[in-house]
Amino acid sequence: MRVSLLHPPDRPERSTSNGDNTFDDLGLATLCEAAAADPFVRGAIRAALMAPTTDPEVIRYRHAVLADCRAHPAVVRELYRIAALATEVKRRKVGPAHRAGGRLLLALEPLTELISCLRQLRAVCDSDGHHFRAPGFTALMRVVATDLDDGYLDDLEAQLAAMDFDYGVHLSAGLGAGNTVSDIVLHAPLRRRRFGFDRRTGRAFRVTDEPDPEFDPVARLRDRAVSVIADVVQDAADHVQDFFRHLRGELAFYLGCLALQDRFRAAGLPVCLPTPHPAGTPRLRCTGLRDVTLALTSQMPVIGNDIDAVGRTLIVVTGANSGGKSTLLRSLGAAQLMMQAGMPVLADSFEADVRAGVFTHFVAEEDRGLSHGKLVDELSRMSRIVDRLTPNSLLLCNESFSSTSESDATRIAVPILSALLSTGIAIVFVTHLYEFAHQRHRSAHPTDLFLRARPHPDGTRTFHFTPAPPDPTSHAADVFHQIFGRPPRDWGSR
Amino acid sequence: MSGPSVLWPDTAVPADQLIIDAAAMVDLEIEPILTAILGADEYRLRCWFATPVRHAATVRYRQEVFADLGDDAVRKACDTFARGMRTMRRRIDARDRVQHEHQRSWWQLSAATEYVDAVRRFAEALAVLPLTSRALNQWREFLAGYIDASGFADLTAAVRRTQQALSGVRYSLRIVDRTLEVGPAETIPDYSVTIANLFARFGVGAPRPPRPRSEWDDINHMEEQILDHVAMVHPRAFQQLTEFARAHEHFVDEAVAEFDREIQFYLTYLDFVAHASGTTRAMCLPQLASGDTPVHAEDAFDLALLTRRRPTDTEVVCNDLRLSGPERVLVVTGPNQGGKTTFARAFGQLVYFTALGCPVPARHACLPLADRVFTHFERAEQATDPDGRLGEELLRIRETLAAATADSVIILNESLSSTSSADAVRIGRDVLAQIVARGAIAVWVSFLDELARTGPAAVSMVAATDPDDPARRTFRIERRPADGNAHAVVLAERFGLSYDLVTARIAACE
Repeated sequence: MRVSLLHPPDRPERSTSNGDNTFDDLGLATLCEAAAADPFVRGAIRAALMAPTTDPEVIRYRHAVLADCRAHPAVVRELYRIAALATEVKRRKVGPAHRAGGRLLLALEPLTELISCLRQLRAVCDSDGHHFRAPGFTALMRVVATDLDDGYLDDLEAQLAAMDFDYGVHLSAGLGAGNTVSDIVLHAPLRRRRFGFDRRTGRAFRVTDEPDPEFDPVARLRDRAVSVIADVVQDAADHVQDFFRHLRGELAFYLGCLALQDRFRAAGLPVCLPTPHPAGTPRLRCTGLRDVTLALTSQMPVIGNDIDAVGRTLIVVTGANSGGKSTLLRSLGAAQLMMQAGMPVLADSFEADVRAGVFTHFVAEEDRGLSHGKLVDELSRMSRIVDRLTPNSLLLCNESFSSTSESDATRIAVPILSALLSTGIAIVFVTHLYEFAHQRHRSAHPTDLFLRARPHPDGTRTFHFTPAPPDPTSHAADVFHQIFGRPPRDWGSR
Repeated sequence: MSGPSVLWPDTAVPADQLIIDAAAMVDLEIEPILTAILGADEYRLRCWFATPVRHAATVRYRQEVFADLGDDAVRKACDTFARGMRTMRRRIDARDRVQHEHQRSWWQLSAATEYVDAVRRFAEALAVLPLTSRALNQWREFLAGYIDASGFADLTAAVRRTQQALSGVRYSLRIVDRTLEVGPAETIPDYSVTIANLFARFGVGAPRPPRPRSEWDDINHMEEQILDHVAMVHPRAFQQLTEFARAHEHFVDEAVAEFDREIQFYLTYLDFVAHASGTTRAMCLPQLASGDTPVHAEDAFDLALLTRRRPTDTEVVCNDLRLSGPERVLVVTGPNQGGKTTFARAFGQLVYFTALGCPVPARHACLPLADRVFTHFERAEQATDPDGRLGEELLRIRETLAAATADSVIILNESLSSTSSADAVRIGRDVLAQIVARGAIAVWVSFLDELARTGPAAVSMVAATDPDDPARRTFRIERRPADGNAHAVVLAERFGLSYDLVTARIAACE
């Protein structure tokens, strides 16, 4: 019995993983927290973001399930409640010291409870299942109807009730090492009336008492026989609970998406279902793209950005400090991951090709250990990323190589970036390394896009990015501005 | 019947041995290495490993076996055989521990089964393997004759017959309170399978078979009672077992047992080699240097360092060395703790293990079959008055020079450090000249740069530091100091971040 609300059962799983720092660098924790107070829901959102699917079909499949959830939230919450109830059925921990008889009893009780949860699930699906249209949901309803029929559930309960070895154990065996009892096969529990020894054969005998039950060979032999069935019952309880755990986890993802959508809409932010394109051709295009972290935490209205990067594999973002470069970078990475999780995206419109994982190389917050030096630290982090990059990954760099001189940084960055791009990796490179950006711009690669925050004529920030060649004045100009109260005049380029 | 030896080419053990005194064993850390190789020394091999020989015929005889065992199939055949013999011995021990007759007989049968199978499997495996060593070829021939002889065939037939009789035994057992009833087997469904099937739609698979009890567990009185009753239910099978045990009390051939021990000399060492070499290091069978062939080793490393090292430690550094033409002495200078002592020790180990006929810690090597190994390592605890120390040192050096021949190897570590530099240089040059005059080979770890410039016989080796960070030691010993300067690009390259390296790395993971 599989739950396939997140993934069509007939399609191969094609999900990928992100870089180690991606989650934190993109501020996705804020997003998960905004999804719900329920740690299970947060966990489901997090898991989906951390294992982005690379199959547009799967993304559309999730969109359909999400639409059903939007249309019938009460039923979905009821299903979630039952799944949560079943997941929380207490299971006693059993250790190696437990005898098989005890283990059997401890596993029978929760299993019986879980079967009553199955009955509840059946009831909800019977009464409300017909409302759902998404293939993910109709498959679930079909599974419940066929696999959990009354006859089957009755049979389960009857078998569990009769599982009682108080009247004796019947087994068959062969010869093992040293001619000891081996290859034990357990037979159905003995019923009192069917049992009686045949004294005439002389094959019945009594084993002398052993005061310490731990060393009693009879108890140990019984235990070996019952142990297999105890394992089976424990296993059954595990699997039934697993079914509910999956159901809960997958429903949790959608409940989280609903909550996020509600929260964004309430804040007057645009939310859209993105259009995923298959991997292979860069198709990034968006309007009104917002950064989730900023939108959720800022008191001020958040500026959206329009980007058309269709056909571009390298986006170089330059511009003044505090001009929104990092925010833009984060918003691109988060939107990409949200799309590949099957979630709605914070934008007026968003479309992109799917990527094999999102990796981040952000400037380190603090100087870790003087013995290595910052450049070594940066390079070793980059090297670890390269270890994990595969063609078609997305790499987001935020002020990479700023720990060394501009000329050295350029000498390092140019070959690394060209190499990565040549293997099919897409890069968004936020930098104030003018020398690098300028050199790259001069080589005029048709697949490069240069973005720059355009300030207002009075010099204040717009946080709005437009295609523009890198501007050499980001650093010095800021200082100049602070001191002179105006930006320096630009004599050269016009 | 006595079989061929795989350790000694002739029946007599050669008298020529490598002479190495206890102090040198300590300096080169041979004992801890042998302990790492031998572990609990189940096969009592230490006597052989403690006896390096100076007999080229024996060394070559063993090198041939090691070369054969370099073939995975040969190695596997020998390992499998050894494992079988070990299991067989454990079963004999188990037999001797139990009292119940049917149990004793069972252990006897199972030991014989293991023996018959191990020997036959081994003979079959060897028959088709491309063996080139004299030792293993002789052994193969011997073994083929042994399994064709009637004694072995009779044993095999008896084992099979008895096994088959026992495997057919099955019975039913009812347990009610403390009363047990044994009866003929009944065909009733397996209850756990019934229940598992019921939950199959949730993904519950077939029941796990019960954890088998350890073969070696002691039996209890209840099982003895059960066994007596099972024997009553199946009298014919148990009668066969009794007859087998009576007829085949001793079944191991002496020559097979001796081979089992001798081959462990190789297998034990190869296990250690596998552990010691790993991915970046390699061990090899050295060529024996003679006459004009230069003494050399590529990527040599210190085995003692490996025995001390924890898994978290950084990689053990490998080094090259070469003495060709008139060159006789490697003079190693450089910073403290730069890997110089390790280098000297590694050289001594190369010589020692060459004399055992074993692979040595290097990728390629050509090494002398030395008559003696002398070591002069400075020891901190001997620090008494400087004159006394110098005198003692010179006394030992004099003894060494008196005993050294052109076939000797001398390893000096920080000798003469107790005296002033000018004096040390003068003395050192003199000693060095004497070593060269003897024609002996030496490694001299020294703080005296001048020693390295003594003439064509001295080769200068330097413990290098990181070109990007002169404070960092690389533990590499190079024939000349490396030049290099700090540069971001060099650094990036070291992290595998040049254009070519990055493209290769990404392409590799496709």
